[in-house]
Amino acid sequence: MTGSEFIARVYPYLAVGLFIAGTAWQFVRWLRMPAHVKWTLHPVPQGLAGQLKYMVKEIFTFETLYRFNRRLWVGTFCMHMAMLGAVLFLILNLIGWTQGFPVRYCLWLLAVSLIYILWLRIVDGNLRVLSSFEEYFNLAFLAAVATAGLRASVPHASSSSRSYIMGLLTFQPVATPLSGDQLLAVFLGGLFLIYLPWSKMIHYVAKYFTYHHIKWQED
Amino acid sequence: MTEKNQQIQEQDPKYPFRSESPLPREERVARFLETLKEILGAKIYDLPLEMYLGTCAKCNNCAEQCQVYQTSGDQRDLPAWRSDLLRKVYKKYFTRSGKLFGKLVGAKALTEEDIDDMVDAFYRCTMCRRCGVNCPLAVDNALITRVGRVLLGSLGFVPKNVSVSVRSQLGEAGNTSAIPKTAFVDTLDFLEEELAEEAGIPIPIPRDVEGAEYFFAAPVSDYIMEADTLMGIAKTFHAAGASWTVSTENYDAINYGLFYSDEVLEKILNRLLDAAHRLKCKTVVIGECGHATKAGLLFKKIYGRPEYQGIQFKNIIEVSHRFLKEGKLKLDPSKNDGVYTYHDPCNLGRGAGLYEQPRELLKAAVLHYVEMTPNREMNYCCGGGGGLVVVEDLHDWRMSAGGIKKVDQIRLSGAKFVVAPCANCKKQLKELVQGHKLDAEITGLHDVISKALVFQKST
Repeated sequence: MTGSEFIARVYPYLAVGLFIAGTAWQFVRWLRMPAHVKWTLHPVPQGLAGQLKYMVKEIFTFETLYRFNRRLWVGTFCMHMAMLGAVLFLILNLIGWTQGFPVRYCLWLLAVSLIYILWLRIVDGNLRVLSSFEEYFNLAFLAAVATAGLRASVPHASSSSRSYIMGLLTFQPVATPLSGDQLLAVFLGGLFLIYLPWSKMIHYVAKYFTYHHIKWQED
Repeated sequence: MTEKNQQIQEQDPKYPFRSESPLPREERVARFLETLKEILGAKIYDLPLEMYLGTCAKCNNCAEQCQVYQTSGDQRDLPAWRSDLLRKVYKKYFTRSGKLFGKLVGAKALTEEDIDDMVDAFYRCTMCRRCGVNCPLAVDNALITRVGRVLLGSLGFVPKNVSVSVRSQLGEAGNTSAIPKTAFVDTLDFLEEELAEEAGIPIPIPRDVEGAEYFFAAPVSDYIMEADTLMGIAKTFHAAGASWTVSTENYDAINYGLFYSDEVLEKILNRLLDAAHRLKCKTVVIGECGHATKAGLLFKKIYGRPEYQGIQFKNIIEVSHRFLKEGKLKLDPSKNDGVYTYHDPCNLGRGAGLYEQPRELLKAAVLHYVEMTPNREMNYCCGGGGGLVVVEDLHDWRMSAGGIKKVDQIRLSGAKFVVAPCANCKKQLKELVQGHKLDAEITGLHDVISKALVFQKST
């Protein structure tokens, strides 16, 4: 098996596996960690329904940022919605409900919003003083993934990309070799997935603990 | 203080407050790291500290909510920057990524200068927790400030007023103001005389009553400076026909350990619980004091001895509110004419969720009530929170960066009376009113209830 074949047929499973394992490991580690000091911050939303309502609203609107930091909210909101949109439209495309172009629009939005946030972190004095290399790296890394995704999904190659992903999902990876752009997208995307659980971007899990186990901890 | 340490203080005038005995500079880094290791190993902060140190996204949303930064505009007052002082050290010495990648992941080796910065920064935070309300990741910088202060305390950086008061409380006097027992008993006698004169009926302040339902403890400063609050509480208990007592041995609820030391917090907390236990009381009721309430509510489970776990903590507001709901308090609001507003003490609001109960009590006791804006969980701190109010060296800071937002808020409310059921808040607010020449009067909640209470002949 050549290096290209490994990246195309084996590596995606490895990356997704490591992403799931890494996320699960962090989740279980935090779940087992006690919160002896009760650090509740009131008010606590009433009941599970109230807490879920708050979280859904926060996850889909970023209201806390919207209220106090509108400039950053624009970029953050677009970035997260673009990621969500890219995954959603990819699924719809795979099941044949939509064309491939909505995914590309989402990737464009993702890349632009990431560049905007990077720019904001550089020009805003306070954000700059708070940012370490890690903050810039995470943004640049994801922007590189989005850009690679855009290059790999140019309209004339979208049908081959679709059949490639379908092959992976049905555990029958296609034998057709991938283009250089497609290989790069798969490689970077996989790398990002492997990195994600060990980075600060693990907040897709951490947020559950900071809210439900700490901020809203009841007696 | 040794001559050597005296020299250290004189050579480092940039420290914002005087400490009694800071360690020599060359010993600080090692001791700091040793203490941090102990803290991380102790089963106290666990998940919250790990999450807060590990997950901040550096969005700076906290700065938009921090009243100190909003007033000063100083980068040292960015809550995330302050927390980063500790976060960088934690990463460097206690995380794999920090050890491997160092600065690339925001880790930094600790220096003596970093410790100097921490002394300044962690005592420019009132630990009000306002910044945590709208943090997208629910990071609470106040916990990091507290841990930072515990670390600084291990190096001897504790404001002198605080360490002197704590020594007095844990010593023979048994209280932060070093009041002898005889003087305390005389004060209770005096208050009873005043109460009888005011209410026209004898209203006792029961002492050392075994088996009383409520064991009451107020900050000792209330006995000296806030007699009306205490008399109001005595009247409320009496009107409700409650069984209550104060201890003549341990009556000071103040627990400055909350602001800088786990060890001190534990000792003071257990002294109070011990007094309640000896009198076979099941409920400790803290007077109008935010930090003492929070110290009991948050730390009893961790630090209270096993034999005291059956004792519960309540704030007097919860108790009085229940009396009101049970119809045990008859209030005549016409006795309190004038416009009243309510200041949410951080430790009672964000810290204990007491938002509506005090408002219901107040609205039942006054004719005209207005809200301050913002209020409840978004209310501004008085500017003296986190124990800063007792640090005389920080007076000018409290009157400016710490308290300006509160001054504006009071002024805009148009109220003549500001009700603040917290001894520390009251002290700071009174100083703000005086310093900024506000046409307002600061009062306790039970002072107002006291005036409105109507005693029936059968009471």
